[in-house]
Amino acid sequence: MDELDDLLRDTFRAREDEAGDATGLAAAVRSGHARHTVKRRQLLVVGTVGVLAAGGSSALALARHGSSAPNGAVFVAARDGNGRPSVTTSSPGGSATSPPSQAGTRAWSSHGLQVRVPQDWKANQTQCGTPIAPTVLIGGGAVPACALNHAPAVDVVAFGTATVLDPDPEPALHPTTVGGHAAKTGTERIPDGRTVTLLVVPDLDVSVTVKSKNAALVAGIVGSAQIVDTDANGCASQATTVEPAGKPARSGAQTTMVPDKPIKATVCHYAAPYTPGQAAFNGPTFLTNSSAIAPDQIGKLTDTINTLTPGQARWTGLPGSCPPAAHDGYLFHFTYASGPPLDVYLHTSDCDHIGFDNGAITGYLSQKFVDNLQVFLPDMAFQAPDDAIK
Amino acid sequence: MAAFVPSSREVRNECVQQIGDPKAFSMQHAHPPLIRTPMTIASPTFDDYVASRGAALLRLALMLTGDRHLAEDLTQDVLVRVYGRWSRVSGMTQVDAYVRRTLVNTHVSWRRRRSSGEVPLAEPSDAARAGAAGDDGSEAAADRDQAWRLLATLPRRQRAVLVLRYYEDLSDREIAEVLGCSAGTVRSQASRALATLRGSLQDVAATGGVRRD
Repeated sequence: MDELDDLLRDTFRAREDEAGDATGLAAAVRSGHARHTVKRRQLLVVGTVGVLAAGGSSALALARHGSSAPNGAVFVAARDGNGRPSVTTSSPGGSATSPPSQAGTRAWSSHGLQVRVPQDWKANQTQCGTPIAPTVLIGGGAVPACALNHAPAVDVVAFGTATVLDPDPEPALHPTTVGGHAAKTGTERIPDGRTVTLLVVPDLDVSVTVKSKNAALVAGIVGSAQIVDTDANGCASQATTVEPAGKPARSGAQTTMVPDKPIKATVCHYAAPYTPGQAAFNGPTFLTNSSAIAPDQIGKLTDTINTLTPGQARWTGLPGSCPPAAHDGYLFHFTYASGPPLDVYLHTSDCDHIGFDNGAITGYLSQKFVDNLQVFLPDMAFQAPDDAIK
Repeated sequence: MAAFVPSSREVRNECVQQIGDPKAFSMQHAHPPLIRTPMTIASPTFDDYVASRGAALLRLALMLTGDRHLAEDLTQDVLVRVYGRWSRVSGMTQVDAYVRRTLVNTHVSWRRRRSSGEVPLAEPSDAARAGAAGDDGSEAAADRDQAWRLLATLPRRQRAVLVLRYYEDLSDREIAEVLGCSAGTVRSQASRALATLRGSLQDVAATGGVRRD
């Protein structure tokens, strides 16, 4: 036996006690999972208009933060007779068909559940998974297992699934509806003085938790809830799969991944997680979140995509290590001043094709792309095998 | 506004189906360290599993990463993914083997967004600190600390091979199964890692404890 062998054994054993204990690990995992994973549920066709909550106080709360809904309206989603989405408003004075003023707020949505939040709140302003400024928790990846000495009682809107809920403990829930979908909601006050309202829409497998010391703000945000088919960036709330259907219509895309000079770029992130008892996905994939690429970064994005090594990677590890994420993916939608738009798809955690695809040509993930994730995939979870990057 | 609706080309799900196939995890070991403490609960809840195996996962992650905080990050990252498919994972015959293999491969293979690329500086262990104060085991403790520091300089895959060989006591064939490579690759990785460590230790000895870089 080599001395080095013994030294390594002794070295590892001597360090065992430095590993942390597992106290709180399961709870930390649930918290991370709530922001990391979504579960698929079948979407029920919506045929009626639903109202979540009384509108007066909600609108008042938003108005105090720089926005208002006219006539104390509560915004709800509906579909017309053809099943197409339409936005209507319902108010104590009757309903209206024009969208209300939404100045000072920004719409955020996940799985089709949308709420309006003060404009200046940014996504995922956290440290060690703990919000440190008014923020919207959405789409993020794993949460580092560290802790802050003092968790600030900041305003938070957190999207999660319908089964892994934040907060803990959750308030007692009572039935309600959002855009015709059966929902549950409850409010309570937590020890740090914040009011917490939880809204769950089970058939979309989505929840949103709103926390603030300003109870009216909480009510306003929750009261703005609606079900949308398309999010604020134009991404569909659901997709069957996340792959190109065929050759791109745009001229030049047969030889260049993103030809010409697009004037706008949007990225939509879809995730179709595992459904218990089901070996393969056969239902819709939900939009986790989306983002518009900053205009001054579009050129950098297209340059990066257009210099990829042709081809795509396959998962090279054991099949058991390949995550069940065949329907996960990112859709880059490029818009031009004239001519048809172009869609480019990216898979990062698939088993058999990892990389970019515009329907005509493919490209490997590149180090340059990975080095610019915060620009190209803002506020989006990302994982990819090292050996898929060329 | 027109919605950007992803299209509906059929995708392949072979890997997805294998995920839940217990046969895909039927590693047979003469002395199977990765499953040497198998779950004794027929259908464990996630909390049951974490309560019984969480500490062991953190220890394995510590050996792989060399840093407690990175180990906690890695363990949680893996468990988040496992949690999302727990009803399937819990039905496997070797739950712990699956989770630990996923943990090793996640560390070795996956580019994680939050990865800082930092190489943590290992702190001397309590034993080393005690040894420096004149304890009988001071020389051995100093050697272990030196080895721990040098392990941090190895590529992740090479370090993982050493962890699986010397901490988990796996054979080369078993390590190959875990990492998804050949036993020959495992041997060559181990050989390179050991050669690096030997060379570095000799450098340290020759310079009186100061490593030349």
